[in-house]
Amino acid sequence: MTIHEQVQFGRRGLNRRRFMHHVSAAALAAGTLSFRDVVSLQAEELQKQNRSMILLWMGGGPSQLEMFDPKPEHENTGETKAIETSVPGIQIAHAWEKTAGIMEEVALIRSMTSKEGNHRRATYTAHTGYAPSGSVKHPSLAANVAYRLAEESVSIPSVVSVGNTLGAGYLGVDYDPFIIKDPGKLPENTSPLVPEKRFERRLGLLGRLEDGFANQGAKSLVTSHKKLYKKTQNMIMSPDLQAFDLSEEPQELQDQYGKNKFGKGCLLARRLIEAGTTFVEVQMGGWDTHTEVFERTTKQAGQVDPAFAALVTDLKERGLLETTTVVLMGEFGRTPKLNARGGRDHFPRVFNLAMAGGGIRGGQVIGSSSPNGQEVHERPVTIPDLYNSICHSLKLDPTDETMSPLGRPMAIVEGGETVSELFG
Amino acid sequence: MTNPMLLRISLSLIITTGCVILSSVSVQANERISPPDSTDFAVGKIANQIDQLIEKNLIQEEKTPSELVNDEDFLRRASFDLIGGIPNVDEITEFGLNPDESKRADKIEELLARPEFAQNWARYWRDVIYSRATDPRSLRQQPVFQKWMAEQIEKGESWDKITSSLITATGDASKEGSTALMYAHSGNAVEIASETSRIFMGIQIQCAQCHDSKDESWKREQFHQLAAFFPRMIVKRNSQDKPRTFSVLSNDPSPAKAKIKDPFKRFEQLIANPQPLFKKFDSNNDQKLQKKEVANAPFGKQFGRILKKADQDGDKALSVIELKSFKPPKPRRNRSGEHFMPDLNDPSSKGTKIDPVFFVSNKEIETGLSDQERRQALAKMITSPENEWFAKAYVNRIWSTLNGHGFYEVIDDMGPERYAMHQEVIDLLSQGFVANGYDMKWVYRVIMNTQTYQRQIADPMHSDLTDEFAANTPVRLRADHLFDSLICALEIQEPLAAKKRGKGLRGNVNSARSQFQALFGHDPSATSDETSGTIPQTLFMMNSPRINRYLLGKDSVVGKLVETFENDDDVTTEIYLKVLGREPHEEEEAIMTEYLAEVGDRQEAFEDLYWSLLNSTEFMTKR
Repeated sequence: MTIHEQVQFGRRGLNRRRFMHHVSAAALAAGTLSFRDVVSLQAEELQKQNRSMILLWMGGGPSQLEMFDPKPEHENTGETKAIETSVPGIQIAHAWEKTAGIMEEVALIRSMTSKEGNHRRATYTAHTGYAPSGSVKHPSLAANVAYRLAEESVSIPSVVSVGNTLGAGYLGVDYDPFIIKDPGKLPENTSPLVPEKRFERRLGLLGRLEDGFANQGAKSLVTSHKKLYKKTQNMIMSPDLQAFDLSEEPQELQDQYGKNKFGKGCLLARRLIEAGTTFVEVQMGGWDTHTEVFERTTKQAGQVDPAFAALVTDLKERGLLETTTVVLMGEFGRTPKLNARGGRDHFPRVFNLAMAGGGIRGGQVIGSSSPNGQEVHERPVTIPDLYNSICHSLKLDPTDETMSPLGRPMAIVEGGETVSELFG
Repeated sequence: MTNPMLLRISLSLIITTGCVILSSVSVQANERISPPDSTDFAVGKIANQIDQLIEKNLIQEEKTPSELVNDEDFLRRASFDLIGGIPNVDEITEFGLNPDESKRADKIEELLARPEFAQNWARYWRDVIYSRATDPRSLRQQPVFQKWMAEQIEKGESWDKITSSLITATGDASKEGSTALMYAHSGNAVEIASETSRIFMGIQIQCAQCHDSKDESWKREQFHQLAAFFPRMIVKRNSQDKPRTFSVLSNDPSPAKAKIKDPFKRFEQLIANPQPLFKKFDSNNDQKLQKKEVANAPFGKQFGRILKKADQDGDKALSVIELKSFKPPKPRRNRSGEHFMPDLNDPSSKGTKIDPVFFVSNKEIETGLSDQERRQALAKMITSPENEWFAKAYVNRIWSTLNGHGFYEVIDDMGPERYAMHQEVIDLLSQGFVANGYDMKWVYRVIMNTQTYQRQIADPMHSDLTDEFAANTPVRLRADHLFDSLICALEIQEPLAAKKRGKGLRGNVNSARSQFQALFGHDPSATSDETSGTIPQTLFMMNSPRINRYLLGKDSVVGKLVETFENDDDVTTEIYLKVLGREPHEEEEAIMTEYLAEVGDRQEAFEDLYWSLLNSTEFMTKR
């Protein structure tokens, strides 16, 4: 048995093609790498295995003051109270009780800052690391991660999103998100309309009839079409497809996550990561609180807080937290000063987020905002800094490039630095 | 080849329902529409010249061009290319039986005259513009653009006129389709400059937006000179409209606006030397300025905002030191009506003012012109016959869409640094396009009458024909084409204006089409290897009840055929004609005979065949 075959074992074995691609087949062929080099490089490659990410997306821009950066002493605070957490000295807003209980696993960044105050642009930037442009469709972070980490041996999609999100851009359909609208049930059109035996027989007929067209001058098209049908068939027939069905989970656990769309999405995320998906996004809209920020944020947190805490705890108990990077964030923050309608408006200058897992040291706060919340006080963190940190956590090189269709190489992210305290 | 006898028999036996989309307009068989023929660029002559030029090159490269396609394949290909759908069985039969030597040229004319031609290409251009839209609100206006574009094509409007309308458009975006491109990028000068260059000239000058590119002819400043044609346009919400609608408007700075452009400007001068200020306004002599003291001062109205920022000790009054510490905010909007090139070393600064210059010809226009003057000047320069890239971009795009490969590898990335295959052919076509007053139909006529267009497909990856021009290249169908093919193949009879809600493709056709577009749509400017299928698409074709319900049971299209024909080969032939627009090959008939024996149930076996063909590569491909 060769070493290549050996490393194919395991939940997500080494992807041979990608390995060759990255380690430079030329170096191997030219004999510049010894066998030992190859093995050690493989070891490094193996470390990347099983790395995955869950993005909990708070669409609309959640208010940092009602989240992880409360200002109990300041007039801006309104009705929001600060509560103690399981880590002495760290306080968060009162609606986040369950999260407070697992603070030792969670790192908070209170000094996120950007310039994009428009939902669309800020969402694009947070999802791709780049500002939007008509001329190039940047791959999403999810696509960039899956492109480098996803395993072909996994039969379910490598990128899944509960709710519509950005696509893979020029990285192509292999890394486009598989969109789930209704978490908990099997995705649309995954059940054949005829009995399984007949379905397979049909596919057999289809396969035989394809040859004529292939020989007529459409060989490449037929080959990739067949490959896609095979992939889809594998997915339909795979026992892993059951990962989409939550009914197997104990009632008690389902209750902990919450029997609402977001809670179900988080439980689905865990099941998918377990089954080999590389990147899952779960969306929670409704954070655009221009009015009644206190009532609305409390209601939102009522779903997100228990689900987030349950997810982190569940991942930890299953030994998956160390290899799964969880990020909870939105596109920007909200104005510290209340507006006339008891709401807060868009505020990209200061916002916050929470991270857990993926080698991140929990129980710490990074950066701070000024006492009135108007400015970043210490250690500003930008989107490129965040991307560098996520890459570090996933053991990816943030400067690793892919080629855009116009022949311009593009790194996962340009500039920025890893927030090293996260891993210290 | 078609077997006329078999077809004649099958025709007399079945009642063909026909395809609604394709047969809504019938053209009399003997009605001839003769192409313009009086210029040096007569269609037949240019088509011949193109074939000769390509053949000459192929001989030099020692390549043999592939054979010409048969009538079935020609008809299917031409139908997709011109009217966006597949021919029905009647049409295939009639065409096959027609002995006229000029029947292909006639067919091209007939299809060009159909209203579906305008509809099909209006949809194409809709996808070109909206696939890159940066303002998602604009997506709602797609039908408005499509309607406008179809009208332009229908009335034979020339490409330069259409281009000018798109570049100079103003008006309510919910009513005026020509505003599409401007609204798709919310009037943003930088995005519009790059899209204008890409779509109309095939030049991706935006690479120069941030840096001088080493391998490009054009510099960063020239990109911003192009953007400087567009700074005086805004997209503004129409008041009170519900749902919200927007207009594209000229926003030339008026002298009145210029006066109030910076409320802090004067204040800035005053606080540079605050002593006289205090002398004048500090009426209670406490060395502080209060709000009521400055009520009548020139900066009185701004005092509240100044106080908020500068009042460090919170006593609601400003001391000399506090006042001096105040930094007036930068004016929020650029009201100068000019374009500024950002300073890369200091992105927060205003940058350098740039005047409009057209990068291709280096022609300048007067400075300070109005929005309309600028955009009209640009439209004129872009569409001028002196600008070779305008004609070339169109010709390359249409050739590429019709033949599956372009002269330039990427449909919208041309320019002097890019290599063009068969340069003399694209030059000839472009010259002819100009000489014919940018008549779009002339381009289709010439290309489709060439032997090059009418050649059989070959796979450039898997053949000796490294020169793609020796054959036609198969490409995946666009979403609209696949949708119409499905409706046709499943014989779903549905007037297009149906408003009735319902399940399956029978429901609201327009909404079914847009859902289908959302699942199957792709950017028509992308190269064909970027447009492969996806898993959700495959799942839909394989398992969606919305399609498959039409195949099951005695009343389905399959059931009717099984009942009508006793001979199995006849059923197989009919299914092939309906789904793939051709008769089955011998091997395919043999596979089916074997399959029938294996299954033992005719209905079930032919349902499986129909399903297989709908899921085949060939059904989803223009061959």
